[in-house]
Amino acid sequence: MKNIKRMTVAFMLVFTIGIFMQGVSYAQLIQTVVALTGNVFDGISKAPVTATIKITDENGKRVNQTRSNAIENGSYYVTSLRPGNTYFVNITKEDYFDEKFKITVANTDKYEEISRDFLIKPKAKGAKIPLPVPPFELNKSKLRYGAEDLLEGIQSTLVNNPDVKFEIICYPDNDKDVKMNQKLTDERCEALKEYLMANGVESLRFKTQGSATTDPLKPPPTAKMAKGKRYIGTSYIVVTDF
Amino acid sequence: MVRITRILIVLLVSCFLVGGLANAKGPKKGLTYKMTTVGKHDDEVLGVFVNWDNSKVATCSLDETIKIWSIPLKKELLTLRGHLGPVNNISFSGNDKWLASGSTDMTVRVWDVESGKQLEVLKGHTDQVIGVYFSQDDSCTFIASTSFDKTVKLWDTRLGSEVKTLRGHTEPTNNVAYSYDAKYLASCSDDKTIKIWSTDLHTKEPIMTLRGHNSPVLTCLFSFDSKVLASSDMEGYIKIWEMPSGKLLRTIKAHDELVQDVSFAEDNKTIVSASLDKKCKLWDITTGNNLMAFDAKVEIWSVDLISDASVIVLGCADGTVRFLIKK
Repeated sequence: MKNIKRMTVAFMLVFTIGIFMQGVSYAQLIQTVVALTGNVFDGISKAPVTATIKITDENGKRVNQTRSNAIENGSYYVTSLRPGNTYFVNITKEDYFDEKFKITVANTDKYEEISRDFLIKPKAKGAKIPLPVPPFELNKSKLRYGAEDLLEGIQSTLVNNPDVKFEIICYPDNDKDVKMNQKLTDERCEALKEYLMANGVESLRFKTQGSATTDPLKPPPTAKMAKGKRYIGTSYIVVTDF
Repeated sequence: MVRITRILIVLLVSCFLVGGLANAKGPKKGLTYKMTTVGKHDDEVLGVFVNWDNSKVATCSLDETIKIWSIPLKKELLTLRGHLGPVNNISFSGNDKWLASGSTDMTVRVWDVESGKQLEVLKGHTDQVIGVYFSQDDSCTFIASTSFDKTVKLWDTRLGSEVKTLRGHTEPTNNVAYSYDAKYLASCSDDKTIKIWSTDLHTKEPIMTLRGHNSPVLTCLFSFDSKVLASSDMEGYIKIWEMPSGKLLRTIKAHDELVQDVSFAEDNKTIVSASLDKKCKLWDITTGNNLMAFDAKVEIWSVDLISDASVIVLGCADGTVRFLIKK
């Protein structure tokens, strides 16, 4: 009778562990910890930045906190991340926008650390923040297919910093026809305005300005080169007040 | 006596001339190719990569697409769309199942070669991606990429994760290559250097820096036996380096314009180069001799060849993909 009881208890135990282990990876079971490492740079100058980095989980609970170090090329190192989990990297620094980046740690015990660099945008009157990938096709003013992927970063920065007022400036792709360029860039500004308004940015916060001539800060390339040779006029978010 | 002396002198001069010509750097006679256009992108072709079994070639273009072509059939098989900008470079995995691509849209993407389906979008570079190279070992787990953000990044494709960032170049990094023994990575840059890195995940410092180019280094590539590295630059020079020692073996003034691309044949001593000077050339790197020069009459950005060099594939500035077929 005693043996039957023991066997029942053992069976129940194995059964419970089996249920518990379903969907739980080996990495999670042995509580592997992964570190996140990389560098933080200024989104305009690309200079290294000292900033506070707070890691939160999906419920907003703080997991860990560290600082990047401008003297060491903006490097940071933060640990205590669990494989398979999703986290938010909250980066703050005076005179910069508060930024929030989502990362998912691969569900494996293969790596002790993973890598990720971050660009943060200066929050200063006159700061001219470029859209890193043009959301337009050559000589076209309609937002291209997939533009929402390219605008996600700036849209979330503007939504998370509602006190900031700004101007959208668009430059053309060449200097062939001033009149056509003005029309093109006015239409590009309008397309960006509509996108931002449809995605949580109030229209009262910003103005737009199309340019008839190409970007003096990033003019069309003249040297022969294979890479980066397709030139599409830059679009900027210029901080006007906050 | 005078006549005999004259005859001897003429013979000597003849011998000298014949011998001299044999050692000249000009193209040897007998190696001839015929050019055929197999298809066209809508804009300039920036990258060409022949797969391991020589059955397919992939091309990428300013037109934001990748195309896969059949080499024996000389026809287009697939067009891959998904990048949101020009596609700067491509690489087949060592098992020929996947293709990696890098783009101005700052992403590295992984594609299934058979179906053309996009499998992964790898985000992490903070500027446009210029070079990509799939690891050529059996596992084909890793992709290395270079970017205008001056880094070399290593990605685990199975997990879709960025696992290592290599820093050290002081200017944009142009291209990257895995050694076929999977021990090393080479990256080249506008800073005129080539850096050799360990593929070991813990080491982040370069093993060595190769100096010798006097202009931005546009590409670098290991031979199949991993014993030699070839590199090319903006001024038309090709340099050959002994690996893993890093000793400079040879410098060849190969072209009159920039050389964007070079590739090795399976004998590990023949390389092909192509340039904006519209020429495609074959070289014996052990002697520096030019084995063949072909005037394509169009600027060439990219080149690769099937292992025995019987077919050379050109990616041209007019959007055409051309085969040079050995006669």
